[in-house]
Amino acid sequence: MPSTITITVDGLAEEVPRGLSLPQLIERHQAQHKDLIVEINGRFVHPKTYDQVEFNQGDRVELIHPAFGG
Amino acid sequence: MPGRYTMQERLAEWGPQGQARLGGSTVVVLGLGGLGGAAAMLLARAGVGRLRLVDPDRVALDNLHRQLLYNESDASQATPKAQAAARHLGGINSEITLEAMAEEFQIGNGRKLLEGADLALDCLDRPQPRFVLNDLCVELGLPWVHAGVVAAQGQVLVLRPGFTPCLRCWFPEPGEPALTSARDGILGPAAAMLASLQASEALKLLLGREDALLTGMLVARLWPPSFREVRFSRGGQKPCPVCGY
Repeated sequence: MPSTITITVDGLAEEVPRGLSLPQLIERHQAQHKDLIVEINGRFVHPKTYDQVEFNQGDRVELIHPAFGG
Repeated sequence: MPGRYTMQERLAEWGPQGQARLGGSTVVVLGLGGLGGAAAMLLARAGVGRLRLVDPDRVALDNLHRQLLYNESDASQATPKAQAAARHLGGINSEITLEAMAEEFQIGNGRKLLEGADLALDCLDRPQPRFVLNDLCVELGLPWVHAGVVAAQGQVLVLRPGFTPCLRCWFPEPGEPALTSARDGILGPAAAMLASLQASEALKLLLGREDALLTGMLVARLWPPSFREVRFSRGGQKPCPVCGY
């Protein structure tokens, strides 16, 4: 089994180690903000479940920083 | 001769009954900047019967690139936005009632500002009062439409207590925002686009067309272009302590 998988993060393909956790991916992208919205394959990931996420080949991840200006 | 609302009454989704429904509606617009000014203008033109316009700030020159309601005269006189907005909207539609409230929306006056409303528009410019609005709307059972914009992006969310997740479901631990307009700026067309999306959801709610509403969070970016609707999931977590969803 390959030691890496390819996922898409914010529209760009990215090779990541198999078993990479979501908090590690967030840190890798320097996106550690409390208001971050994580979407995987079109679905919101609740912050309290970040540790339960297991990435699969081809997953589409979006790290969304909400805009609170008006 | 075609009347003021003829062209929108021809919409299949609308009709004369829909127009009457709008005319009997009250919407509170919280924040009258790039989002609120444009959204209020669309609702005034559409014939929403009463608009309560809430903002404590005054018009400034650096507002004009994105805040479509105001002009150089407003900026040079530093006119309160609530008053300038009411005056300009009254010139667009004299058949509706406009209430100018030059106040900051907060816990102390929130209930008063929302009194009698059918709907609130969140066009505020900071996270904190948005959560005050969230909690009040949950308590009052009042539907509202959230929008935010920074740089070339933003999001729109329809919140109906009892039917949808609340803002705290999406942001369980609000903190300092990663994006701020003070540092990252705001693209004028992005503000106008998000205001249009927000006004569109507001009109659907007022017309009772819940079937046509956004079902998730619409995340929109103009530069480069990207539109995505994020579906909510609680991921097996306990219900929200604020809204119970």
